[in-house]
Amino acid sequence: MIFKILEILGIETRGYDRLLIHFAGINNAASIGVCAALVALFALSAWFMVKPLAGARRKILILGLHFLALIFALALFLEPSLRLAKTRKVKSPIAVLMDASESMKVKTDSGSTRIATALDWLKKNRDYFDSLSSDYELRFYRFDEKLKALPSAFLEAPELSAEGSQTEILEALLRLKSETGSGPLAGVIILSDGADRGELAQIATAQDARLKAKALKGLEKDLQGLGRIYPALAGSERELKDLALTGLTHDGYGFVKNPFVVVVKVRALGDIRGEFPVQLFQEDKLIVTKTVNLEPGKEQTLELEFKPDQVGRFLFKVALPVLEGEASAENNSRVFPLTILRDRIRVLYIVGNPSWDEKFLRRTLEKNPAVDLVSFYILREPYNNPKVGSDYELSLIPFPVDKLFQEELPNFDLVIFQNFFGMNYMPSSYIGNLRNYITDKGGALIYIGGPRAFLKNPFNDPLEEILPVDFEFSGSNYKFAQLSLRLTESGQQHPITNLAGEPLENQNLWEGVKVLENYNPVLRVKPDAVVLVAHKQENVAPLIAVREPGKGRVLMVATDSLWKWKFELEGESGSSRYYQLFWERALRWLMRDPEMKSVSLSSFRDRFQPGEDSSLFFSVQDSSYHPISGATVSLSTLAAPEGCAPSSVPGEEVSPGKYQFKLTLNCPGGYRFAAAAQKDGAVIGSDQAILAVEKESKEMEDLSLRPDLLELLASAGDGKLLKLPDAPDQLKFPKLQLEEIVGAKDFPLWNSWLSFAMFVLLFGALWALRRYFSLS
Amino acid sequence: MKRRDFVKISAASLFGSSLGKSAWAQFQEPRTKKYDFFFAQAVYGKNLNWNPRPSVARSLASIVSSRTSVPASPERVEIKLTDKELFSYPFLYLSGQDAFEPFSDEEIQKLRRWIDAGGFLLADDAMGEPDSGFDQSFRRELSRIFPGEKLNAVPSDHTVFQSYYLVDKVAGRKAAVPNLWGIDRGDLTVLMYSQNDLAGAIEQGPGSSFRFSPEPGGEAQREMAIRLWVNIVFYALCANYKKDLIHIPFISERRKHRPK
Repeated sequence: MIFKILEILGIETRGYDRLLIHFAGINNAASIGVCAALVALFALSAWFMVKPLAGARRKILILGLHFLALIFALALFLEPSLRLAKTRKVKSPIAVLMDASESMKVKTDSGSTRIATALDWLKKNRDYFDSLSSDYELRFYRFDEKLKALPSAFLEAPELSAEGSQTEILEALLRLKSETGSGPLAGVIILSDGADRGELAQIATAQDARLKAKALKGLEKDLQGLGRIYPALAGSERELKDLALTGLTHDGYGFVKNPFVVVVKVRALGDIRGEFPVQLFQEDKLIVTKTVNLEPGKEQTLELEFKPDQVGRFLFKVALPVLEGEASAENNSRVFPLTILRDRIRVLYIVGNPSWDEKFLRRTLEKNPAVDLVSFYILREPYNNPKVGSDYELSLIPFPVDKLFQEELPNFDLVIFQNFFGMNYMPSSYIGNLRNYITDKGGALIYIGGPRAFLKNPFNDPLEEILPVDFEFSGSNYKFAQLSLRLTESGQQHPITNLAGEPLENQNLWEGVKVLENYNPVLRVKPDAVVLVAHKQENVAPLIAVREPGKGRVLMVATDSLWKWKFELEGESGSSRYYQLFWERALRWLMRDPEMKSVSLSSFRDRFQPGEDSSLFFSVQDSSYHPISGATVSLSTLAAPEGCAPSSVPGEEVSPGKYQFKLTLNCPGGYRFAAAAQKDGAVIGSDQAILAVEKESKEMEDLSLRPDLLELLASAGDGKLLKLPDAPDQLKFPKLQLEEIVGAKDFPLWNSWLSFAMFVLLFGALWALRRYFSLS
Repeated sequence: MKRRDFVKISAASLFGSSLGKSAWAQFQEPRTKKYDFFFAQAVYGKNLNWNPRPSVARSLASIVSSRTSVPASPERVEIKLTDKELFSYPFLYLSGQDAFEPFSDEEIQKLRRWIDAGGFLLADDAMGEPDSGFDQSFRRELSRIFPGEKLNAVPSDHTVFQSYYLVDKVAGRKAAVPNLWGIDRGDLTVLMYSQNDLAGAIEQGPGSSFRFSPEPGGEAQREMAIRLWVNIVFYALCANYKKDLIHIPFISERRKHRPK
């Protein structure tokens, strides 16, 4: 009928089968907002004009004129047109989603993998799908943690590998929905083992009934527009055998001689029951074996406990035996790198006489929970007379020098001599023992000044050998002066004195310490010592210096007034954090904290995915922590999974003293690397690093089929769960009446002088009536 | 051994031992005397109420320096609570015998911050009797320095009773109150208060004679007061050093065998 009228009007309608009203002005949400504003404006104007009028006729007239004016105004804005369209019927789409996650490569009882079973099912039911394609458009996708369209000819030769790291079924459906836009689907077929690791599994395992009901409602809403959901379970659990480590948790650090616990979860699937050993290896050495009693389908948790006996960074491995016919051996072992730290720092603290310097340092050490202090203060000199009838009136204890310096010394990590000269208490050979403890056993010493310190005396010779300075022969060993400090170039870099990070701030921080007033002068710096802080007054006189004699480390502080830095600073600013930080960092350097090494090999992460690009960074500095540029660096592989040692890679200097080795590690397992640096033929140093390569996903931890999850999906999607090789002919899809416009011709309805004249005329009439009705 | 070798070794030994003696002498008497304990006394109020025992610092220095390894300065440092120099002296003595005006807010804040930074305050009532004017004023000021806290009797196993001497009696010039009082911060007592005129027991007049005779215990009581003074100085300097595990069995054994 309309088409006839159009033809009468001279419009060519042949070939067109639809007549539509098209609004060219509606482009976006803003244009709808403008329309709404126009309507509101006209309604407001009408209300103010109609309200004061008395007669009904006048009101109707004004309202009618407003309505007409609004129509024309909207027409001007919306640009309506008559559209003649050519349409074509389209087939309802059906999406076939193939699970390509790693769990699909598990073998079924027929000997083929789950994914092969799914592909076979497609092949065997080719006729069904061909017949389906006469009414529906079949679209194929693969999914894991992503969704990817497969070629339209996929059905002709279905091939797919299961390499995806995680099954996320619901997420894949939501991606499918957003990909198809607003167009509805007739249905979705999902070929999967149901071993979901995403939101669907979370919904199914929700414990709170109210939350679960809400989640299920949300699931139904999510599936709207996807048509009927038909999950098809690929795989059979009847003969699935798998022993798997499903969980591994442990602390970030371990401590020497303290129990360290690795919590392991183990699960057996299929016909596996009985006792199985769970082993923990440190590098290649078996350190713990524990037996777990397993029943099919039940997860067991067990703790593997050991006491690390060595400080360092090691690669650990938890391993289960690999049984014959297991679905996967990948989930039978896990590796993890672990840093073992010193449990406690055992400190022998010997003080020449009580003083404020001792009090504030001791309080600082006591605040450090890692420090175990054994202290001996000389409270009475031979020339003191406490005026007692017997020593039982005193709390003083004998200074057990024989036991300490002959037997116990190796049990301490650090010795502190503070303003102490021991000639009255021990033979010089004990100071020799102290020297040997430093140089041969790798012990550490803090030597703090005072009137009793830095005395030139044969008794002190062994001490002088290891300190960063030689004692002078003449002059006083102790002076009073208001000290101004100078942070040396080495002190600027050194981890002990680089307290503020920023060079200028650090320099100001140290130069601002103006409270020190006593020091031990005239000390000659040894060639291999590093002066960190010196006096400003006496340019070369060291105040804080370090040295590494033999295997040990020594820190010297040639003043006993450092306490003033703490006490006075706290009085001024309420904070003494730099004093505390200085001692904390000193302890860490003396204890060879791995983060304070001058030559260190590290990476941003210690875990990588197989095949992921990784880098090792080799920081090369001298003993003063100055970066060394132009060094010859090399990287060697000390340990790697069998046949997977990466080929040698060159180190590239990316910033002064920092070298990068780029690696790609393909095989899961642990790798240990060693880097070495040389310059001008001299060895600078070397370091090692450990990396673990492991798939991050939990996909292979539990290979159970999850028909329950697929059932949940089918129920929410008004479909049904199929178990392969069930025939697909029970799948029912609605036929949606879908069509698409393939051609169109528009006839604008507004674009004429008449429309515009009508709009102007109506507004003019309204204006005239306002005047006539004496409206303001 | 050849004769020449013997001469060489003997000469070297002689050199070494003489060198040792020289260095030891240098150690015993450094060119400039260095003190590890300064007696700083709080100056407050408008009159001399703060200063009832003006020469106590000299007496205490003599006791501490002669009986222990700590060189103590005989000079008293007089310091106002608002002085910047307060933070150069971690030991502060506050005394008086009469009631005094409240401290200013600035004095209270400064004192509180000084204690938080690690200072140790010893307060001493020179009247040597409970509920004196000083006692009332001092307790009032304490409630401002440590709001909500109160003085507690220092227990008999506190480090202050075993930091140098084994002490089991609290006494000064008087023995009116058998306790020391204290306020703790964590494991440390940061303030101690004696009501027995501790300073009066040790203060010397011109020459070396003591100014007062302790009551009621006479010279034995003075010795107890001297020992308590030494212990308080050592507690201020060494804190809980004597609570280290290694000391406990020794001290326990000595307490058992100590003459009563």
